[in-house]
Amino acid sequence: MQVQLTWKTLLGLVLGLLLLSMMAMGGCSREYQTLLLQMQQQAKIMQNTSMLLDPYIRIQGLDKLDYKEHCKESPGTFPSKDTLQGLSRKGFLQTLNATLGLVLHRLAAFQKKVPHITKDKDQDWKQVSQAEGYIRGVRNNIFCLTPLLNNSSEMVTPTWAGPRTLPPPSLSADAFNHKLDGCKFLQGYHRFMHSVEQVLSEWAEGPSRSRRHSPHWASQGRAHRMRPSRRAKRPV
Amino acid sequence: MALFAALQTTFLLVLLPLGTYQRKVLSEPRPLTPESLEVSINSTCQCLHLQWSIHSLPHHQELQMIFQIQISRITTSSVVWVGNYSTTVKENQILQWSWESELPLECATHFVRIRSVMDDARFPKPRSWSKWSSWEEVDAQDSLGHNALFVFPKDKLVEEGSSVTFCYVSRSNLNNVSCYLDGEQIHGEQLTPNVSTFHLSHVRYKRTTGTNIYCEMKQGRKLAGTVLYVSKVLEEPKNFSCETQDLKTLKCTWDPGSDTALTIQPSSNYTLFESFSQKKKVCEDRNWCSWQVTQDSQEMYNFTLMTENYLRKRSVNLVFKLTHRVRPMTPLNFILENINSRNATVTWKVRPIGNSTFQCQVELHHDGQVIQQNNVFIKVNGKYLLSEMEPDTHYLARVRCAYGNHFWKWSEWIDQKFTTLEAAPSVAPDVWRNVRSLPGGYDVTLFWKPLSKSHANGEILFYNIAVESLDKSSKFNLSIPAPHNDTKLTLNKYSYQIHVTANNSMGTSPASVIVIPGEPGHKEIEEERVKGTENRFSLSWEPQSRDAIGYVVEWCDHPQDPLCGLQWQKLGPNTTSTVISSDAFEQGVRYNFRIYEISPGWIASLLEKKTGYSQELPPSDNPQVTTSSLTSHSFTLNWKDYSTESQPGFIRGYNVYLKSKMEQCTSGFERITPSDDSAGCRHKIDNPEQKTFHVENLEPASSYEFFVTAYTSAGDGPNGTFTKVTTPDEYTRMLTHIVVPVILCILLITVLFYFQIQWMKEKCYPDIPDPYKSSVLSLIKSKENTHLTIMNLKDCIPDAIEVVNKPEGSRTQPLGTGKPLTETELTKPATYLYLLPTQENPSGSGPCICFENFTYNQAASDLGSSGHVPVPPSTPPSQLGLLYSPENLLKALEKYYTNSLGEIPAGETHLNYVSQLASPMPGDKDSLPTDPPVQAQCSEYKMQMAVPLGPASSPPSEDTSLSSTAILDQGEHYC
Repeated sequence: MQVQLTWKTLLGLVLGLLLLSMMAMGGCSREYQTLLLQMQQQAKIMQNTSMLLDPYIRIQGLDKLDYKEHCKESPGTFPSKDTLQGLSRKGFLQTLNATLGLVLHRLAAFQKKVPHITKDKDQDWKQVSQAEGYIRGVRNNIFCLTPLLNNSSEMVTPTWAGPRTLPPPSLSADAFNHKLDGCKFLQGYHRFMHSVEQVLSEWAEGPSRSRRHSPHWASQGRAHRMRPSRRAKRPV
Repeated sequence: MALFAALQTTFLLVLLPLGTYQRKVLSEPRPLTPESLEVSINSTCQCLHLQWSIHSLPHHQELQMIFQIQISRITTSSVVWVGNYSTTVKENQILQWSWESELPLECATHFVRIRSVMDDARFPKPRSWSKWSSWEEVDAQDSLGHNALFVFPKDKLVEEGSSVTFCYVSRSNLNNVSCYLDGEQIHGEQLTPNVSTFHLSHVRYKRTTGTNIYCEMKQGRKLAGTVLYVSKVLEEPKNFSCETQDLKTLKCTWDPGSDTALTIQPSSNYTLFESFSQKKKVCEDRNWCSWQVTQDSQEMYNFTLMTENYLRKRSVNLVFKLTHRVRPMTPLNFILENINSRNATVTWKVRPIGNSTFQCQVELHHDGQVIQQNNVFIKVNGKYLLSEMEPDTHYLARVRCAYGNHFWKWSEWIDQKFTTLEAAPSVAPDVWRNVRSLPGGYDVTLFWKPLSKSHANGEILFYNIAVESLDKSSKFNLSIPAPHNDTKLTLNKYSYQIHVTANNSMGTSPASVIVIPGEPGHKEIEEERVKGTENRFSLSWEPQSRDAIGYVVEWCDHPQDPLCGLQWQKLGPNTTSTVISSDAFEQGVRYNFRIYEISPGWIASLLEKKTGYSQELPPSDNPQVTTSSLTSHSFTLNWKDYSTESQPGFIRGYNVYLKSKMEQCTSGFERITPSDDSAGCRHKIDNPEQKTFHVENLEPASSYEFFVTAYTSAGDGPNGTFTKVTTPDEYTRMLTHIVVPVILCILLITVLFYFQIQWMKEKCYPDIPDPYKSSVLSLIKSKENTHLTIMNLKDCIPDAIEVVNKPEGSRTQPLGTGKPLTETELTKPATYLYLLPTQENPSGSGPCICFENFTYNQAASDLGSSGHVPVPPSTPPSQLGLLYSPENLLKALEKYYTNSLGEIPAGETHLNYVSQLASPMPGDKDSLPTDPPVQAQCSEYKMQMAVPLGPASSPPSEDTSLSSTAILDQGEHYC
């Protein structure tokens, strides 16, 4: 438990520093690679179930349940890795942004139901609140990264055609199933962030890896010097 | 008149049947069976909802009726509840009634029927029940859907301590279903083939998100569950109280107790209701609420605080008069003014409430303790003088106020810390000195104790030392910075007066005066022993002069350390005793006290010396004892080097223990402790300075063991080993004087003889020279014949071998005998032995070298005269072969030669050697050892032959010795 807490503290510190660094820079970083790396790190951190699923399970009293068996991700709630890989970068970011928005919405609804007096005392609730902040951090980076892709050669920006609203909790509205639905949802969320991290890794390993500056910067400062072939190698 | 009578009769006749008819209808009511009974399920409250109606009410009236309801479960025959429901019934009214089931209604089929009876006073008793309605069946399982497993009820909310019944409905075999309460398996009872129930008693609160109850079907891992929300019991608010600070707003507070909030139940809200004004306010917080006081001069207030949640309501009541609930606001503008070393002034303000006065309480704190407390009455501005404070001291002043018209509660404190100013030190430092004489002067070390905080009145910055010569008009000052507490002065042999003062930022302390006389007296004062008790010594002294102005007791806390930790205690002139106590005092350490008398001239003179231990211990070590003057009847023990001063107690004497085999102790000793074998006898020496003891009256030639130990008032020294002493015999000494010289003489003579023998041996029996190393040989080679050489034994051909046949064991074998030492050269096959006369040896024809070996000569002589010995046929062939074969003989000889230079092998005892002398004298064996060899004119080598001793040899006579003599061919070799 001590180790877990320490690990969580470290994670919080890393993410906090990431956010602080952005704030200190007065808004968005203009470095494409920097933003990409930050998002990759954020996705790597957020894929860990200790960020959200584990505290959720403890809050709901499901920790004695075999939740790996009964909290399997419901198919279709979150886009699969293949789906994400098939998206354009812009489409990927839009999908990621929309999906995280759904997650935030659901977390807010979850938090709203629970009395404040309980949340103030519980470490798990604090963890959930922190996770909300981290998700907002990812969305901030999406916000900052998207303009850098505007000048890219991507002509088509398909997005995921999945759910744009919250999936209905369950046909049976009883509390127990609702708890399980939340569990499944968060299981899917962590899997989704894992896929996001992998896709972002592929971005970093792609042809644009050697480019030290963002496409936006390149388009502003050195667009005339960039060869068409390189521009053609922009992430897709 | 008759007409009137007839009309009256007719009227009565008409009325009578009507009244009779009416009376007849009310007295015979017809039972009314409930009709149109409908039963439905409300899963939220787990209620059966019944509705029915009564048709054909007589006279279309309202009737009071009782309905009896029967509820059965699973089958109509198993009635689980029967009850009556009484109500007023109107014509065609639909009646409704609900029944809450303890068992979730989804768990089993329920049956309901109803009947009624009139309960109207207008109808006479007895009244009869109507017929039962037909059974109405309710089965919630029909609408469950197609899931394989269900758990009921859903989302149950109960209070802590309640009992709850759950069930699961399975579509398959019940044995495959396991149910859990927050992970702990629970076991239920089978209600029907596909339903099991679980009864939970006294459920406890677990979490706001509820307690999970779920069942798992092993086949297919189907899971179904529900959440039991256990709410804490809503408590009645405690400590409900209202007060005002300004008569404008009331603040009511209470202790709400546990929060009953759950995810399906919000926190209980609180509402204030004032009955006089009939006003109500919903409070935003759980534990307090504000109430606006009306401006219509309402004096009395009657508040009811109400709270509720989904399960319970609570309320408390409070009635009070507004002016009796005034608690002023915290005073403001609390200021400390005019702070000096002893006093300070505090001022503050209160917010006015009408024209009322305020009672204020001023407190002064120091070190967390209240040292002053005073009450003052003020209108608006308050002021108070804090006095009698210590300089340079931290204080805390605080003030609070209460409503003056009616005391209800004090306001909150307002406080401030402050420190009084410093003042000059109030007392002179406590100074003492240590004087050490030097040639032509003194080393004076001044010591002073730091002033206590109460006397320092601030931070001591430095100490000023003014030294003034009383004999010469010289003066000098020293300034020693704090926190140093000593200084060393080197003074001439004059009288000096020294003033020591302590200084802080505010001034100088009174001076402490001490005088160092130029000529200190050298009065010999005997040291007196004192006995301490634990950490204290009681000292007393005799005053020497009447005009002493005081006394000083001086000692060292750590006398064994170089910096002994000088301590002193100053006492008044009328004091002649004191108790010195110190935590530094240790047992087993000797402390020396010096008592000085202070004269009016500030001169300290030594009055008495005391020494003692706070607690004496036994000696830490024993004397190292030596013995001397040992005689057959006494010896002396000495331990001169034993130091009595370094012991952890005063040495009172010594115990000499003596052990012997004697039953009785020698005189002067007493037997001690019979049970202790090691104790023996003891002699006690009471004089610690006596470090020798003469033990006498001992037995000669006896063993004694002694052990000497010192003792203090705490006991003997450590156990040690006894030293053994044996008294000598009376004649031993005399014998020693005789025997020792004799032994020395014998040794001397032996040594002389040894050297004489060496000389004689060199003269009489020199070692056999090595022919190869002979100087003669080199001489011959160089001068006479270059062909001359040393004969090799292999080249020697024995001319004759004389076999000596003597019975084995008939005589003692001489040294080196009995070994096969034969050598010959086989020139022709020989099956016999030659014996050639020595005279035929052409010794005179050429140069020859003769060596002789008396040892062999001796052997030969021992064997007797040489002679030819025929070999008996009975001799074993092997042995004979060795002997008669010239090769073997030669080998044997060679072996002998070789061995002659070294060690002769053992076991070859069948050959005797016959030494060949230049002038052999056969048969004269006795002359050989004694007669030295006669040096021939020429050197002559005598062949030494080994002769086997065999049983086959003819036994020679005792006088006849057989010998073998080899005659060498001188022309060929020199041997």
